[in-house]
Amino acid sequence: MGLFTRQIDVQLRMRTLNLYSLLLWFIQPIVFSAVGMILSNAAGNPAPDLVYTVIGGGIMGMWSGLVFTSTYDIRSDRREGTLEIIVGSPTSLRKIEAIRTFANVAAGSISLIAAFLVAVLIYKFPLSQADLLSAVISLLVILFGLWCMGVFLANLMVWSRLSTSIVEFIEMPVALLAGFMYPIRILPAWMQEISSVFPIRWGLETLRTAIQGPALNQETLIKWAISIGISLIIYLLSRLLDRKVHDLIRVSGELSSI
Amino acid sequence: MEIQEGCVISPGRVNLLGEHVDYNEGVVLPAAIDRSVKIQFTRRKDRLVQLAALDLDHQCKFNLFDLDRKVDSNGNPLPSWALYPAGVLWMLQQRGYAVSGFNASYRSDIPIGAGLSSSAAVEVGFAVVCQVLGGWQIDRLTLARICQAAEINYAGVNCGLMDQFACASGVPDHLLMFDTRTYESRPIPLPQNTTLVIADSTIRRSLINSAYNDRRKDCDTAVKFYQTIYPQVNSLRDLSPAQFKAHAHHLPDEVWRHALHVVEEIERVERAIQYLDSGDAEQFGKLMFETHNSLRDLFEVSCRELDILVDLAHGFDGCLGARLTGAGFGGCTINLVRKDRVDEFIEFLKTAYQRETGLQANIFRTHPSRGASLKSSSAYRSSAASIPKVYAIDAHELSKTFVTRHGFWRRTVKSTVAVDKISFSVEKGELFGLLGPNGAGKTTTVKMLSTLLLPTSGTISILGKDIQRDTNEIRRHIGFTFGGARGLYGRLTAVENLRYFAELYALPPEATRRRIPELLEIVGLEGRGNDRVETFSSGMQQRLHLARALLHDPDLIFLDEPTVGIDPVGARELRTTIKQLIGHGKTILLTTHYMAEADELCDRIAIIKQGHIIAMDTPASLKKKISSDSIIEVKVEAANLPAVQNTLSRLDSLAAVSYSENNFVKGISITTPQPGAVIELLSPLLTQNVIQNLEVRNQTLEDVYISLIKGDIE
Repeated sequence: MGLFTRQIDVQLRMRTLNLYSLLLWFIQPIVFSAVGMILSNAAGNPAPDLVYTVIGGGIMGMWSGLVFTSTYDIRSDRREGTLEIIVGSPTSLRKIEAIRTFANVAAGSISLIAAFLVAVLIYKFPLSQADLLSAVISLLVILFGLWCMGVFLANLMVWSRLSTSIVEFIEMPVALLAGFMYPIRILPAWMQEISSVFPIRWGLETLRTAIQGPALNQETLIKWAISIGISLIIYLLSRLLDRKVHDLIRVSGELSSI
Repeated sequence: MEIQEGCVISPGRVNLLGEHVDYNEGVVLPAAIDRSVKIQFTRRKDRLVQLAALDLDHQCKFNLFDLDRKVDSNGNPLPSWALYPAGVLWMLQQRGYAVSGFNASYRSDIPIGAGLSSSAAVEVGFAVVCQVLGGWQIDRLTLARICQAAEINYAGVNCGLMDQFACASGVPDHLLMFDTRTYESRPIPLPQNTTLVIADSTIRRSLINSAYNDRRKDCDTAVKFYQTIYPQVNSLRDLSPAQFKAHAHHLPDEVWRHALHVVEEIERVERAIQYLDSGDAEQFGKLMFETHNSLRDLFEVSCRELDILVDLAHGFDGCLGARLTGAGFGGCTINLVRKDRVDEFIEFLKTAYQRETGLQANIFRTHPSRGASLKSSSAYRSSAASIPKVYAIDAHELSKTFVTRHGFWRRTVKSTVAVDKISFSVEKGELFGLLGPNGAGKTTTVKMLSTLLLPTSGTISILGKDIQRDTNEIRRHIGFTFGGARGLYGRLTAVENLRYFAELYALPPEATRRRIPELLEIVGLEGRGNDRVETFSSGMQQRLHLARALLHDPDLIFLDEPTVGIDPVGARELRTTIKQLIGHGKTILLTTHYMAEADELCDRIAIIKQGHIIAMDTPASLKKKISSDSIIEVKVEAANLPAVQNTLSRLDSLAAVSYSENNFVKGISITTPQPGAVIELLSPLLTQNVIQNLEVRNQTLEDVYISLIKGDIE
């Protein structure tokens, strides 16, 4: 527990509470939400779909924040020379990555909460119809999916410095494919197939449904199960790679390379 | 050859005559006895001393660097029994004698608290252990004085010099005439056909220290009084019994009686020596009885049981003399007995004493014996044959090749051999240096040893564990720092950094709370713990690195260029810290580019070049590699160079000359086995100011290093 709280503390103070992260979590959702509404108006919709525009913007902020922090953490450790010290300690890097990613996901949820507040307080989005229990479960499922993906990305970052560009490359495509800001059904069928491998997609669908009305039905349960299942597969993949990655970095000697 | 282990036997002592005169500058007549303390010792590589008092079933471990604090290795106060050996080690160090770490167990058959100087035997015994391990020479008087100083200043017992001197300087079958004023001594044979018998009353002294101190005070009071009458008096020894008695009525009653004993005892010893020299055992014996009476009636340090023992002995026909020995108030009597009546005497005394007191006396014969000495020794540790040696580091045929790939479509692969089949071992407690130019493979080696890199081939054992199989276990027991300011979180404070890394090493919260201020003090950052690390200078960050590496109290520490970028004062402080770590029993592997630093710190050095170890030895032995020639450094203005060269051409094969230069001044380096001849040749040029400066120096580690790296020597 000591390691957990200490790591969270370090994570928040070193990585989270800085201007760039605040931009990611607050400004970015606002920008995305604004763009969403402009596009909605341009498409001739009488009123913007707040579920996709505002809340989608919040999810977007969470995702970007996660991609940034998960990859930045390791890059930063490399640059500060602390990666070697962490790897050389008896605590496994996997454990540290897991706690860090938890901190990142928890901090990222601020973005979603901010988006909700904007939707409710500014746009008067009615929550009276919302299925709060299903919404909370959906949110937790999303957070779990994000955590698993974050751990996977962090692991990838330890492996090689070159993976930075790969990770940065996937930020927008995943956001687009997972339907953060629009319904998946508008995508071509083949793209929908691809998007189904992202656990966030399934959680998002149930979250949106739950915000609009009763959602606790078989379809929702299946989607939660799919999301959790894919998340677990991603996590297990990280675990399988973990040892390999650890050995690889001890072979290549890139721990201290910037 | 360096002694690794052995056994020292240090005898107790018995004083035949001259009781309580040693602190009044009198002459005493002690003898070392055949009851002794036996100390088995084994050298350690570190600066720790581990003691086992087998009779007490107690153990104690302390650090030679921490002796001032009188604490064990856990920071707890030393137990009282350990103050005696520890005090000797402390005093030896204070006097500049090299004291190495060791393990020792000891057992004694000297009755404790019986007035037979069991404490002095321990002190002298450990002084001899240190002497044996340190390889230095010391005369027995100096050794005894060191032990006395240790008992007074460290154990806090105000004692005279007789006990330690007798334990250190005993001669078989002889008493020692020891003048505590002039420190002169000579052995005097024990009278023929006599044997010494010690009778331990089994009464143990109580309040002895306060009574002893009271009597010392009384003696001082008497001296001060007599100084007003006889200004030349410095001690009671300077007074004859007649002089003393003439004015004694001015003294308080108790002071008068106590001082009279001393004055008469000093005079008695003078007579006793004459009797001994003439072999008159009977007269000598009578003086022993007189002494007892004086100790009983005047000095008032006897007790009923001791008086009974002496009275019984007095009534035995074969006993020539008897008296209490030691400080009194209990303990033993010493008896001079005819050889042919010893068994009978012992039996008689045992029976009669039990009848009179109901106590069983411990009565035994004793022989004047040799002072403390090394009984047996070995240059090798006997355990080495049966137990495989566990090194802190054992690297065998260690290689590391880095493979880099370039290109996307047409991949090119490049292999770089950073370390090529190096083998070396580092013993526990050793400070091992790894030197070499940039890119030689030092850091790669350190990273392999510290589990951060996997070797391409070869094996590494760290503290007996395999680097690949027991990686996590090894990580718990090693610490490492890499040179430079990287490796800390700049936006966190020093304490926050240390707390975080403490968690990574799973330090319990209590240990973390205790260790952090301790370490900040050790590295000289006390008071800066709550400052952000980004505000620290390079030196401070480097010291914080060291604190971080020490958090979990590792046994083995890797220091990769720890003083790089640090100012000279900071570097010196860090070197002091490193020395202290060795004193705490740590093993250190150090890499550095500073040769003086390596020379100062390292027990052994390996020089690595292009991934190969090209030399490995102690700094002293490495310096011998390059020859014992001196180097004469000459500075000369460019215009004067031809004149100097002309002179140097006459050196023939006497010296090797090399030149270096800058724009204005030429440097000439002359390596020669005969510096005197060269200086003589050059001195006219020096007086004519042709030579600006001339400096003679010995070969340094840097000279060796440069020669090895350049390939000038192998």
